[in-house]
Amino acid sequence: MDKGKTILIIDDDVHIRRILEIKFKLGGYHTLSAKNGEEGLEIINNQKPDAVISDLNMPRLNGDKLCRLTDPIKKERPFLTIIITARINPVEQQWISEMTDTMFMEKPFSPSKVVDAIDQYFEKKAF
Amino acid sequence: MKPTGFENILSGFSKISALKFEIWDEKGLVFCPDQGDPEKEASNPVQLSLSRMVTRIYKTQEFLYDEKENHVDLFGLPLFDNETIVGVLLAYASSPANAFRKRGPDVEDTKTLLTQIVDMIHERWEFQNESEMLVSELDRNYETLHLYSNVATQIKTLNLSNQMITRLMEEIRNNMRVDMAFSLMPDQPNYSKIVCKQELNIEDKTKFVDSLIKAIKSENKHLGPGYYIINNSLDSQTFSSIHQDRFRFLAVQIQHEIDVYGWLGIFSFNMDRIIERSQLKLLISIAEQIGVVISNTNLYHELEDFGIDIVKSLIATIEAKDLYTRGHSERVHYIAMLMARTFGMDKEKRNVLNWAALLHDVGKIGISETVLNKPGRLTDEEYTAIKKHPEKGAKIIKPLEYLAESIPGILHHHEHYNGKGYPSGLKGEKIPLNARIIAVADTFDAITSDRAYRKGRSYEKALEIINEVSGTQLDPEQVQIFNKIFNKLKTGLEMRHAE
Repeated sequence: MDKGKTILIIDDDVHIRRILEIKFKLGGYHTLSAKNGEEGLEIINNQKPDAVISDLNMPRLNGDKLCRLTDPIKKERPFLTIIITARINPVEQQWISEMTDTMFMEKPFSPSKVVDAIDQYFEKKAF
Repeated sequence: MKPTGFENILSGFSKISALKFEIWDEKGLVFCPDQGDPEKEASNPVQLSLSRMVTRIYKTQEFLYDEKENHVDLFGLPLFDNETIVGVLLAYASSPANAFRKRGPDVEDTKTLLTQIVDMIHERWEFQNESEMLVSELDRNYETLHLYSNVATQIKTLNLSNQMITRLMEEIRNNMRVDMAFSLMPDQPNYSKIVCKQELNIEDKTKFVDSLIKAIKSENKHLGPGYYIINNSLDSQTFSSIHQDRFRFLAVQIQHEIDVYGWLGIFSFNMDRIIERSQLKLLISIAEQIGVVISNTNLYHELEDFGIDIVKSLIATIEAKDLYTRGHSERVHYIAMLMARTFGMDKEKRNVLNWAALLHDVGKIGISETVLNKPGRLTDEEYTAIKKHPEKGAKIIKPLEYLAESIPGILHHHEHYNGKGYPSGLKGEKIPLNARIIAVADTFDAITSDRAYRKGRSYEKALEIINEVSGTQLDPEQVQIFNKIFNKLKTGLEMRHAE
């Protein structure tokens, strides 16, 4: 079932990109991928994905800078950002809670739970 | 048929070489270098011969070529995916002038080239298939890692709860893709939980699980160390009698050292899969962790109970010597705790007060019985000796680190609010809070109980006296609280007296 939504996956680890690509395709979504924050930002601006999954530690513009740069964009055209990171500390939890429509998941993460979170987000938006 | 990934190269070759390349499957044309005019395509006699070649290759599943009188103008090679033919690669002369001489080196060369192209396509498909399988496996591993990590984090809090067990069973059921997951712990029914797929064809789930466990006990053959697997219920008479449909089932014992606390189990009607080693290992790991937690919790409770029993023993030793204070420590404890609850003392502080109140007179062990039970007035010397009991008590409790915070309450329970008490002459708020509370309770009980030298006064009279010494001997705030609880206290004490 094609849900007609596009998810952007940003991670410097190719195997994580592949796992998420396949899981999302099976879930009926289209996917775009980026290897780092810079590429990711470009795709967000040009192709306007409906949700973004991103790692925190990446070369060339890491996850938290990306979030801060895209937060203003979200005010006009909201999209969900899920940050996936190893063990989150209270400082990071703090700035994440200040961003619009942003949530985090700790590694080792469950790929199905990421897809579930996206499904729920779109269901809620539909109402 | 899925794309070969070489469509662009084949288009390129088609443009520059004598051959045109096309790919067909059993349904018809899949790829050709230029889409061209559809009408023209259909009527083209070439298309007919291509179609026939495809049919022949699907039958023979090998390289074929069309021989005319003295030339060859059509070659074909089958494409396989997982050993099944899924399509045909065709190469044909783009014009009669380009036809090849029969059985010449050109035919052989063409066959070699086509074979190499097909090999590349096969290799690419193989890599893609492998890659997909690897990613799928990786995905499963990520889910399992997540589950392990989740369990470890929750169990680390050493706080098993019904919700935690429920969540754990649901995660296990999801992760292992089974119809039911359960935990069964007969001694802790709070931790026994069965979770299942919504439309599960089983009426009484609790009875069902019980019969599964019973069946294990009677079928000892497959019992590995602490676990039991059966991949097909029909293999066993006992199991097949539990449910008419076939099922597979795994149960792992929750144990630690020699104690067995119960079972964790998974169950499924889906016979397309079997119970895997990785599932067994995961379940064993979770069962082990739960076993450790239960064992530690039990140990902790046992130690707590032991500690309480030791204190009761200590109290009994005082009362063995001091005939007139039978039950005194318990009554002082009862009053002090009632007061503390009334002004909302928190749980940890109440625990400290609990011990201080019970043990406040433990120092009397060091006082001679004749002095303790003397019916007449005490001499100055005897009085000095008795006044030592708070210090002696503190000394006795000192080696018990766990009770360290209770010592101030024991040491200073005879201080007076106006500073005229003993042993240290502390005044007002400088007297530790627990000591001020115990002082009120102690005074009340002293007045109301029978002594060697006088009978006990009434509760009301005792209240009167306490109010009289508020501010001098006793802390006015604590006296106020005592007044508040007086009625409740009276009822409570009368009930205890009646028992």
